[in-house]
Amino acid sequence: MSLLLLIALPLIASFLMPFYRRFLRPVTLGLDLGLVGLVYAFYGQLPVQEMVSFSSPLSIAFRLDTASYFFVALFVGIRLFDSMYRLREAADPSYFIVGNLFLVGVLGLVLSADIFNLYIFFEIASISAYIFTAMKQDQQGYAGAITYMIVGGIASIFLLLAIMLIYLHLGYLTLSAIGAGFHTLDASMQRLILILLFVGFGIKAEIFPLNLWVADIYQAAPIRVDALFSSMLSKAYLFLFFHLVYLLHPDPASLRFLTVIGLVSFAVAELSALRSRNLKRIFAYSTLGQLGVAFAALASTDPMIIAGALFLIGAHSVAKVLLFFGLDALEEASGSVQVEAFATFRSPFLLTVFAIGFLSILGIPPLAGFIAKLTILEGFAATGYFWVVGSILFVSLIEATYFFRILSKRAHAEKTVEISLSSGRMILLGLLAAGLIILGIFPGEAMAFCTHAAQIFLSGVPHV
Amino acid sequence: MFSFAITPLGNLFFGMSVVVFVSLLFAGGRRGEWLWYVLLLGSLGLVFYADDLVTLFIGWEIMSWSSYFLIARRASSATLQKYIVFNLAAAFALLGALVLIYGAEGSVAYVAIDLSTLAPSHRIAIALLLFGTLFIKSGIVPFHYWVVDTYAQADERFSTVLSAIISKVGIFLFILFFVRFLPAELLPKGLFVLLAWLGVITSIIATFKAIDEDEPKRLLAYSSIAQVGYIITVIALLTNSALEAALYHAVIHTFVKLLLFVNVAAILHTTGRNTFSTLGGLMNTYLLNFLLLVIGIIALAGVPLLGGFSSKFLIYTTLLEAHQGLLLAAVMFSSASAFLYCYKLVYGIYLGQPTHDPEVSAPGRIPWGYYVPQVVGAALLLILGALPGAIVPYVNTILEDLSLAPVMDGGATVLATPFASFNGLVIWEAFVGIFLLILLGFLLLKNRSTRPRDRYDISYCGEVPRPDVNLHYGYGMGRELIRIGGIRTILTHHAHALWGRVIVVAGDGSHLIQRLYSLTAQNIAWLFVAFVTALLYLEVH
Repeated sequence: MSLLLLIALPLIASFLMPFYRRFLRPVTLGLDLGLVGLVYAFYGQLPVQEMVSFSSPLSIAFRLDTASYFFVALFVGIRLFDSMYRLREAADPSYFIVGNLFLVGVLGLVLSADIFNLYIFFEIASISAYIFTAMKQDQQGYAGAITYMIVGGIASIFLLLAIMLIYLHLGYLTLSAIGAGFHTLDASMQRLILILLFVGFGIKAEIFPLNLWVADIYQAAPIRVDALFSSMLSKAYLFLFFHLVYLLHPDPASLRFLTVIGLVSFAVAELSALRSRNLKRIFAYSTLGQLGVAFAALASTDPMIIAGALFLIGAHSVAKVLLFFGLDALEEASGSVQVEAFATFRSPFLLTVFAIGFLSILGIPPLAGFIAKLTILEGFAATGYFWVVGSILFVSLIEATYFFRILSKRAHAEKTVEISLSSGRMILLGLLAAGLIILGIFPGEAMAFCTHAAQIFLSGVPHV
Repeated sequence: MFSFAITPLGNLFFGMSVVVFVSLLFAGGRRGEWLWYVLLLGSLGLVFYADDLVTLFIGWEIMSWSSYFLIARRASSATLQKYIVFNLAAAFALLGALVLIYGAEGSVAYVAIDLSTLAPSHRIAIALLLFGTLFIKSGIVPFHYWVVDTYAQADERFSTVLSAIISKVGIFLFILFFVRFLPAELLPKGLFVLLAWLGVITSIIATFKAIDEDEPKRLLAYSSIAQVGYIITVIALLTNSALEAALYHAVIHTFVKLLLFVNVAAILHTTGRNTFSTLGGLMNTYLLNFLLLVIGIIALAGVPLLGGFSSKFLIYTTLLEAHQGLLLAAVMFSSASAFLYCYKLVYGIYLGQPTHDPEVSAPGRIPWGYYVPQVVGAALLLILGALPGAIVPYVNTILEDLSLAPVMDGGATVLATPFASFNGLVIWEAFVGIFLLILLGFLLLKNRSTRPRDRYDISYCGEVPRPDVNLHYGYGMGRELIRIGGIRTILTHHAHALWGRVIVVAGDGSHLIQRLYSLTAQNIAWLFVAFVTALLYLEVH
């Protein structure tokens, strides 16, 4: 079995689409189940490395280790959820193609072991994300997509500049080789490349102040696409950025800078959600906030904190999928995504789903988010970063304020909007919600995996 | 991950919780609520029996959000919001303390915690975080912002739980941390002096706010804050007799509030009225309820005969013993002022002139279930009045478990302290004798006129009031207090002035930042350029 299959299967499926136009739904499901099977099969053989060599620098190298496996499994799982959720809807060929491209993009970002490939997947993921944004084909969607393209273009330029400088000075593009040779560059060049990488990936990983575009894009895109953006796309860039950071062994001062930036990102995002009235924007801000925490935690160089950050990424992805898909059902029924609409729907099931999503993101026991937050806080306290603990707790309170403001709106409100969720969808959402509870009560296995992944993550990549 | 230990302290608090929850089962309630109550009781079990900090915290959080869903059925969204934000702030402060302890000790198990080797600044930080939790949970001014509205708007049964049990959880936490993990000698003494004064100032403020209230439930809410204030004042001394007084008062207050809240709930339930100005003169209609309320307020006021006296007695002697004359004076001032609201409670509902409202004049019967919690509370208060020393052996078990010296045990009928002691049974005998005499005299001299009187039938005073003038005394009681200097300050200032400002500032900040997130692509691009330039500039220099 080859890692290439993870990339090739969705691509081939997209190209051959005209041949099975009428059987798109079973094909999508088959493809996704195949990918899940493939990912499962790789579990026993980590780490896996593959290289398809052309003349240098044009080689294709992939690497799957415990850290990237975490993300690959997460992405494939969410994608399977998305396909199953769509099972009863009319198949949409354009969604099929863009969705596959998107999956290829995020998987490629995580799997690539050389920086040129990485750039290609960066573009694939970006372009499919632009199309996704405009999927509704309305004015807001197009406007959003154009903004997204401009911002994405800027990110590409910075990334390309960084790649160019690396290639100019080192003469190779393989990640492990760059990691080994990077310290031979003179210090100012190292800093310049790091800054270019930070800006290029920071825009995509949605870090303040490079994330000012995000809320508008989330508002413009269809809600279920937002779920994919916040649970797959931003997480892939987050992984990639820190993967590169640890590969290049930056000085502690830069890492402290990243921690501070992450915390500022968290604070700014949660504060802006405080008075927002649009649930799509609120969820977008919440995503930015959680990415900020994960960013601060990933920059800590401590295996325990990074394990917590990975756990946080997983728990947040699941919770955000729950929230966005729940919001989708709400919008379908009420036609609105304003906070006021939240107060008027009548469905104990959906309310429970929302509550579990909220509470998990807030880090309230006994949900998965709590374990993540506790591990991160304990880690920071154990390494003596009390100011980080204090600021995370304080900002969490702001986060709690707006989440509960949304929930409290329901008090004394007339519940007029009926939600019609098919039983299949209810089972799917219920499974995710149950997953958050189960992970919260029995985090042992998952946390052990995250700890292992964190160690791999910190060790950088061995030579390909 | 979870570990538990059965301790005498945990048993006391959990035992009280179970008694309160079980007796409340009788007092009405909707189907579907029980799940949250079970969850709440379970979370209290986690808190009281935890043997590591994480279990404690998990119980604490479940307690917070399960209460939220219980309150959510009745309260307004603003109240709900206040409740949850303040309580989560308390929980996060606790989490902060917990994480700091973990950072220092590398373990969260109670047995492994030894904070004596920590840096002093570290210990003070932990203490301050725990104080934050305590202040919010117990409603220390100005953190009482959430308390009164929540008590007033929650379901009657749940108000009872809040006042009787949840308000004591902070006390439990305090004993756990400041007796077991972080003994006072490890901290600057000033912290606890400050705490004692905050407790008593809170009780004074809350007492006068209570007198000014027109709703029985809000009055009881302020009274809860005041009573917990006493507990905090005395417990801040951290001696073994202080702990005895605090635990004793916690027990008494639990049952007093169980009795009083259910008593008021019964009236509100039957009459559908919830202000003193619309109630009054119900003594004959609800004689049993009236008598139970009298038992409750006697205990609340802390006058001899009932358990309330025993606990106040311990508080006073402990303060004397510690040579805290000023604190004692302040507690006594507050305690004496509390008579006013106790009186308002009984006068406003049961005495005075009945209102004309036919609904109130001919109300229905009180369902029998409402008597069960009241009788339970009254019985315990009576027993502790006659046998004040009955729980001292158990208090000694708790003290022993916390490695403190035992307090004086003078037998079941005597409550003994190094300063003074009294025999509850003797007081009872004397009281019964005097009471019988007075009753005899009253029956002999009673005016047998039964002519029904109109409440406006006071023209012999030289006044002819209009029908819209509310003559009911409970209506305006306490209003005259506003003329007294210091008390005017208390009555005219509200916590909302402070917290409202915080909310406005946060909202403005939020609006400002939101504008950043609505920039056009062009401006965003300029900002990126500026950011990169700034980064490069910082790099070069």
